[in-house]
Amino acid sequence: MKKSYVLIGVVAVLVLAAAVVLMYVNPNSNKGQNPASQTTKPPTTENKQPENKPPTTTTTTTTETPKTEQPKTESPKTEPTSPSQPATTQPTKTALKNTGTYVSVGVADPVDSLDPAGVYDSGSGGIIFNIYDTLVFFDGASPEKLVPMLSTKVPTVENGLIKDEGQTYIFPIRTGVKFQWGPVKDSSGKEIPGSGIVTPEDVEYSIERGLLQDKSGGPQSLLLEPLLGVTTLLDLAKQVETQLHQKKPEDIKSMDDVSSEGLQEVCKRVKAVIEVEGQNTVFHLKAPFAAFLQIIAQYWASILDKEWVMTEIKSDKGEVIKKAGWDGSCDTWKKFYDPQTENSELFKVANGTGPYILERWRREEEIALKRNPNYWREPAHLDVNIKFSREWSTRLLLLQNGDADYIVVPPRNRDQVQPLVKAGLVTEYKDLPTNAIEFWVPNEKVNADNNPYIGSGQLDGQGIPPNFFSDVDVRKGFAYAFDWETFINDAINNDGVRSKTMFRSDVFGYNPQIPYYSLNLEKASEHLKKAWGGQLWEKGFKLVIPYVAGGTVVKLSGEILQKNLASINPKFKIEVRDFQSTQLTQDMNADKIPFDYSAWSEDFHDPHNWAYPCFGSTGYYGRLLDIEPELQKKLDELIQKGRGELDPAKRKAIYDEIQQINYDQALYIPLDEPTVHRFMRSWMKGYTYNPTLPGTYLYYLGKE
Amino acid sequence: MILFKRFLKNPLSVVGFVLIIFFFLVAIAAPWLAPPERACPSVVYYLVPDWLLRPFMTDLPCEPFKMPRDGFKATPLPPNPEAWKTFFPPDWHLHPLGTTENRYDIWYGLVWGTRNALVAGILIVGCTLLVGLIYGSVSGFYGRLVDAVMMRIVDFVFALPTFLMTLVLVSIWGRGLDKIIFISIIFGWAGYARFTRGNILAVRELEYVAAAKALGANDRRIIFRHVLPNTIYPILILASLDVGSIVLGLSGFSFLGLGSGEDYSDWGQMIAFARNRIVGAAGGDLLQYWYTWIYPGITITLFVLAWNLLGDAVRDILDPRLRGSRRA
Amino acid sequence: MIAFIVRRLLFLPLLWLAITFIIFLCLEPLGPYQRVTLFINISPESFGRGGKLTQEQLQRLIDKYGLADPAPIQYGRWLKQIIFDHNFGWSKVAQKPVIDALLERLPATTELALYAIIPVVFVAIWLGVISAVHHNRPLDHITRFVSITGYSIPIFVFGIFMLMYFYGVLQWFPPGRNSLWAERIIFASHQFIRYTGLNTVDALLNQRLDILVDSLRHLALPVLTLAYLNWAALLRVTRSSMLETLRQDYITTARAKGLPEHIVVQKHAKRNALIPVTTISANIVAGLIGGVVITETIFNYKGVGIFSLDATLQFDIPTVLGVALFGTTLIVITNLVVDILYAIIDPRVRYD
Repeated sequence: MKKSYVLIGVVAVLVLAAAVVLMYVNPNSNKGQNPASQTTKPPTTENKQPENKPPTTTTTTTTETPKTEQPKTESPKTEPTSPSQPATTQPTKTALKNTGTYVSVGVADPVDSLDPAGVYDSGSGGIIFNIYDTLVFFDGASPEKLVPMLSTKVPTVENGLIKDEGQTYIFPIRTGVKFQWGPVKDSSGKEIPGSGIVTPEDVEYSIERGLLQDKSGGPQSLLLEPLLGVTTLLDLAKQVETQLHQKKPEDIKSMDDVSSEGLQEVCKRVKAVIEVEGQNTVFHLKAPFAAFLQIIAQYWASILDKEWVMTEIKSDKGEVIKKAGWDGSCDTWKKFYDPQTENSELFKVANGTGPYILERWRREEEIALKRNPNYWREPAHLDVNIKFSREWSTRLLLLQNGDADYIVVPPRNRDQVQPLVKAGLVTEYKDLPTNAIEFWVPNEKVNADNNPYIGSGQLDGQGIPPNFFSDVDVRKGFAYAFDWETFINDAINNDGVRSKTMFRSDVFGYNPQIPYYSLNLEKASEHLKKAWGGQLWEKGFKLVIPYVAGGTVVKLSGEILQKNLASINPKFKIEVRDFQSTQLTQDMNADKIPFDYSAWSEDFHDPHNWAYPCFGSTGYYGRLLDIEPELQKKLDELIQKGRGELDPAKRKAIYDEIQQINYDQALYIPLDEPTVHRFMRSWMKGYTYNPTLPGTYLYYLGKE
Repeated sequence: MILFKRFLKNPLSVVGFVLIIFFFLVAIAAPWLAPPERACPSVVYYLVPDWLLRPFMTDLPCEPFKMPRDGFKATPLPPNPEAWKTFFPPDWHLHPLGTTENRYDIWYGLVWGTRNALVAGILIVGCTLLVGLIYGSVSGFYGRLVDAVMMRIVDFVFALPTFLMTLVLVSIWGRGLDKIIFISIIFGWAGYARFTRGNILAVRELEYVAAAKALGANDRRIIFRHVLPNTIYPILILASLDVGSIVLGLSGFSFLGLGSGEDYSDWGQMIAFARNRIVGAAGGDLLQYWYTWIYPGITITLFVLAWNLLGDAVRDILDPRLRGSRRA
Repeated sequence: MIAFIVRRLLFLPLLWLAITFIIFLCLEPLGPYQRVTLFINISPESFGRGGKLTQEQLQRLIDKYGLADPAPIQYGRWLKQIIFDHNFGWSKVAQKPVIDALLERLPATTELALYAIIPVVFVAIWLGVISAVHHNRPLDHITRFVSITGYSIPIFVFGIFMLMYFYGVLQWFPPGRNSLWAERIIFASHQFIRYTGLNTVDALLNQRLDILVDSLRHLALPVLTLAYLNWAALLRVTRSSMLETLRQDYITTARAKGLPEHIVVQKHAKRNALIPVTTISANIVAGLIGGVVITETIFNYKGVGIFSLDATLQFDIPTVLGVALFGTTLIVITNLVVDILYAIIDPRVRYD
């Protein structure tokens, strides 16, 4: 019995001793330590807050001429920037694995559907654009330059394929390009003429099918706007009904309220937009639209095989592999209008002319793509296998052991890949540009109904009035109170470049000469003293900046603003609080969030895609502006003019003015253009990154 | 007393007991071991974790349960021997045990996490026990139809896939320790109810209850004065031993990203931070960030182990079928 | 006996109704806009970036799916769908009908759970008996300590550590379910027939030893993890049941007859001691359900566990309902089987 007591004592002492020894273990014994991280910090009580640099200069900030360097000239070309590869290359521990196949491991399956006309997310698009071809396509890493694909020429005014001052586009269609599934047989077993190869009719059908499908939440508004001048097909139906039956647009809530004549007329108008002339397909635009080619180059304008889409296809055993789609007639299109994602006939099958054939799609498990041996260009080099793992550790080890060629690396875990990069086993593609801008949106028309973000809803120090941000001095005060340096260094960890206007720096019309805001607390208090006739300064305010739980960047950005504003006037209170994502979606869509951290990714690489959503009175953000009606009218006119202007100099002047207005009015506070890093095994060759594309264009990839 | 002696004879249970005392001491001494950055106006804020206060007040003047953060970088900082110069307690500002990913201090998190774990564990056990006791005694005492219906409901709760249901409800209501704890209570009481009922059925047949009945005592009096006291001790002891596995379960949900908020001193949350760092630097030192997971991992394991060791011994002692089973 | 089984099985539909109704009821506090997130992709990372759906488009979705209706009406609609169309709904996560998706993933999890249960049962019973025979001696303490430690270690720490060592350092046991080449044969080759969906069994039936080895290599880590963390409960019950049996009169008699101790233990005691052990199988199944979710996530082993986690994280309510029903059914059926077995093994048990 006494022995057992001794045993207990020994065990307890050992456990405690082990713990203490572990505490005192000299951390230097661990290799791979970052020496910088060893610097001991003095005990401070303030180290929780972002460091706030007091303003050193007071006047130079706004007039400072920014660097004229355009990031475009240096960025997208994919130069592996792995730090100085050692001359004595370490023997690569792992030999080339999975020869002939590119294995990519993502986090979760991004593909919602394979119907090119119905999906509007880069996850699905990133697969689709490898299977289907478009008429024209982006050249390598360039987000602007287009090369001919299924069209043999890129239409320009010079080669005469853009006519009528930009209202007519002619695409000469390439002959002899084969679809992957080959010719389609009808029920009697005969090959349907015209099937299996690309014809101008296929092009016409593909675009019309998309326009008439107009899936809610889908991409078709991008094509509807230039071709028909509306943003949804329902709007077109409303126009038609008003003209035919003098119905009020409000009475038509869905396509079911449209008469059969109306439906016919809608279809006719859509069909009138695209015509076949010999081997050409001709597009008639509603009005000149400078960015049309950028739009037609993306996956939502993929070219389908008309006969294949129309026909029901069965396997040898008689199972239906692919349902029958729209037959091209104006009587039946309504049946295919706005389908549920999984009801689209192209939901899980794909038959393009592109470099890759869909072999298997086991949702959340793998996507297998096979190279297309009959591709009209040189066939691709590799087969592709895309897998998914939520667990970062698993992905990391897969990359380390060479079982994966590419993995998704969260920005915060990038350091864990560095030893592989240093050993030359993995290549890091650094600071790749994206196609987005992140910015603060001061909501000038907050929906005050049951709103948890605006406190009392009044200017009494316990909340804000719903039109709080309609005062230009408030907006300017907020803009001057934000600290971009801390934001870029700490909040986004240098994963972004400071953006100065609401246009991306690589987009046409971006003007680096336009002044921009920087941290200047004196100016901030100057403006806030003037705001609301001086009442704001006296009474103070309180508002909530929400973020989705787990969203560190928004949290830190809000805290930067919170701290700076509180330092000007303790009555200025901002609360940065986490909310559930579902509630935030709901409130965001109900326009309840007064000051929101937002990001816009461009749909096509053109200033119109920035000007209209932000400043147009019906734009996604623009509808929340509450500025003087004349100014809004002016903005709308500028946007209208800029959209169709084909003369670059004139067009630039228009967009300069818009950018200047944004500065003068501080309508939005642009934060940064996010950048990303990509990690790939060094044995992968030819990786080309293009920010405009929804994913990796696998065609260029090789492995050796 | 005999029970206690038998208990002491089992070395494993004594280890468990010592460890539990140790954790209680750490929890009590938390404000001294890791003084919070800001002093609180009332002692309430030191004792009651945020998730219990939040539903009642929106503005918290101080939050000692929030882990302090050293800058905004993601890479963890290794343990710093400098912090131990003051010997004990170490200065957490210098990170005696290093920091987690996102630079939250591990020492601070573990110390306040002990308090949090004990509060959460005891709260859950207390509430489930209370519900179970009342439910079980009502069912057991009234018997017949009431009992039949009530026991079918217990069967129903038992048949629920608890883990999946928790996943579902949390995804609907949003993450948060308060929600998980609430859900644990909803699904946790059935076992205690069944146990109480069984005991009550047994006690009810005993003579002294029959005597009380004959003397004209009413139902409530019989339940509370005679029946419950005789059944309550074994179940109380058994339930209190569930604290360990309950804390382990909570940490599992934090690991899946459904538990407390990011900066909250919660062991599960600390493991969630460590999750990405257990595999250190690929191609280099795989153990580079050992401190991010070893310390929280050991702490949780020891805590759960302590309760389980104790529980194992106590169950042996209490198990009526094993009474007197020891061979000399 | 048959009446008993029927009664228990009748309990099942009632359970289904109750559970699904509870879930629908819990959905009630969500607003229609929150429910509409069922139909669009929302994740913290993409937040604010993909939010391009306009108010109008969201409204269209809400009208279309009747998301603004109160929960009981939606519940009724869902029930009607099941009863008349035999349609459990569409799984957004799998992009398939829920039933198909579940059936497709079931073999993987079955394989994992089966291989995990075997060592759990054998090791736990063996150790439990040893522990009881050596009651309160060092061997007993050590076994109990090891098993309780297993029970106390957070499964996620243990799992990732195993992965780091056996895959990261030794490269023995890769994560996933199969290697790329094996997957190609299993899913794309016409020679390989998938009889059962259990890869190890199919490999044997197709006489592909290489695929069998590959499957076993991938199974090793998750099985070990799951098993080590689950044997404690079984060991405990075996031990106490064995202890009780060992002091029964007939054992004393057997000993008195002069039978060797190992025969007494193995032949006389063990068999009877194992009867109560069957009762705990249901708990083991319930424990495995929880363990499987985390184990599958860590080892990227695509089965029902990962599926249900994905579904809950993505608010895929039809899938969640399906998985909840599946889990309940599993528990009820296990309980039933256990009860029946119990009656067969132990003639003293009678059902009223």
